[in-house]
Amino acid sequence: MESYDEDGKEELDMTTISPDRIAEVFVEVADTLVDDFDLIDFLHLVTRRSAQLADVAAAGLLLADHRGQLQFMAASAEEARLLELFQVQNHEGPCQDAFRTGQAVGDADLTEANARWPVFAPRAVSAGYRSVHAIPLRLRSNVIGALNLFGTEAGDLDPDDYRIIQALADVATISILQERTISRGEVLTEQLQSALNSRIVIEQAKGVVAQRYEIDINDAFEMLRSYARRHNQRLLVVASAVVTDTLDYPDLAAG
Amino acid sequence: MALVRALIADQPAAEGSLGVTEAYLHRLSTAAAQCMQLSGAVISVLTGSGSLDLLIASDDASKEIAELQVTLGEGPSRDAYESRRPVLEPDLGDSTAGRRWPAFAPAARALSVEAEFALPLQVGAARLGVLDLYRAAPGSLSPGLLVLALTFADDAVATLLGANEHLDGSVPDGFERASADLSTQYQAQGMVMVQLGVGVGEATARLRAHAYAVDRRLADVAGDVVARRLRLDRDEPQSMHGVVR
Repeated sequence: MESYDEDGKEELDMTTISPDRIAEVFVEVADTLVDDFDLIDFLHLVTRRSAQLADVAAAGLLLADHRGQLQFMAASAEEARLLELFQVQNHEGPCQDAFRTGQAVGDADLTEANARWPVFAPRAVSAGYRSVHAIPLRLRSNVIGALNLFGTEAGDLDPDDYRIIQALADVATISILQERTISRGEVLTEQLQSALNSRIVIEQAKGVVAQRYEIDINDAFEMLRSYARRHNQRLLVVASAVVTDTLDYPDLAAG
Repeated sequence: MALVRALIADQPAAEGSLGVTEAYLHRLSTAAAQCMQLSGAVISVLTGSGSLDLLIASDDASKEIAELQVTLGEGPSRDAYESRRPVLEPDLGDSTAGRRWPAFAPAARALSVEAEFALPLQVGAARLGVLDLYRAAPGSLSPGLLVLALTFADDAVATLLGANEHLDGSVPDGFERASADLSTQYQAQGMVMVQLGVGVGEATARLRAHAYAVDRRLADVAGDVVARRLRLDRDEPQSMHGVVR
């Protein structure tokens, strides 16, 4: 990671993530990947830990649908301004590039990236971000999506940090496909379609919750998630109940 | 989507007196069967009774197989609906399929169906039905055909939600998938559910009907709902194509 000393001179920061912290995160991730884990909640954890380990402001994860459109799956913070930046990458941006090429894509200074991404770069800058990275979600020859990192300061990721984030992205890929080697070609489609539809259920539930409790849409996800946590239920189960049981829905505001 | 729409438009109109939605879905099923070299395609639609008992089939033999799944209470179609995910079975004759559907798998093979691909028709929690594709020979759908099959399913969903304005002869805008902020559209569906006290399928149809009635893009209407600049009233126009509850 680049940092600047007191004289403003550039210097290379040699310290990366401590081995203890890496071990801690991977144990936490493995511990969450038990039977019957909730995919969206898990990907939410992956994006938060990715942002923390890479020392960036925000992270998000996008999956491609059958039309090759990148769809939002999880982010370290469910903010509208971040969701819009993911959406725009269906036209152009690092995730689009990472998805198409299967290679990691980054830009250390978005204020000088207007030629590269004339729509995405200025929007990211006005949302408060200076640097961006996208790491492909890969399973052998298939690229199924990308992990996106946004920093508020200019700078590249340290190569060692890259490898750690790539490892987290690989774990996310395995969690989505739920197996390491796809035994049948059909499984990939079955799992991806299921994952994409799960995210739609969450968005619908956010809408229900925002309207019912008169809260901001950005806060609705946290309300759903904390209810699921308190009651030891899967996030998708709670979200489905909120959307489908119009009469007998769970009261998220109750303790 | 444009390719799928063209394939459907090439199909002859169904015989008999079907409603506009059913007639379109029938042509969709025959187009799907024809261009993917299937023995048949069936669209099972969830009706007000809460079961998948409206069957629109490309042919009578395929309809019989779909009915068999309803009767036996098992099969890829039912699993696709229950699990909200595609169930793609390239070989009904293999032992895994035999264990999974002990009654249906041999019965389907006796009727010359060796592979079945069942795609749920849904938008998030809104479950509308299943598109079933039957084939006389075992084997996977190629990646290209799988994309085509999913696109047929998308068009069936749009039709069931009353979103296919082209049924009325106007210009289709499909799902506006490429440019629209889809997260906002799904959030708006949830908000309209509460505003109108309706289920998610009806809320989705009502949002589309509103956008159509005021001649605005669905994405813009959804954005206004989420920003709380627009609230749908109970006397909004009903959804226009009547299969959905």
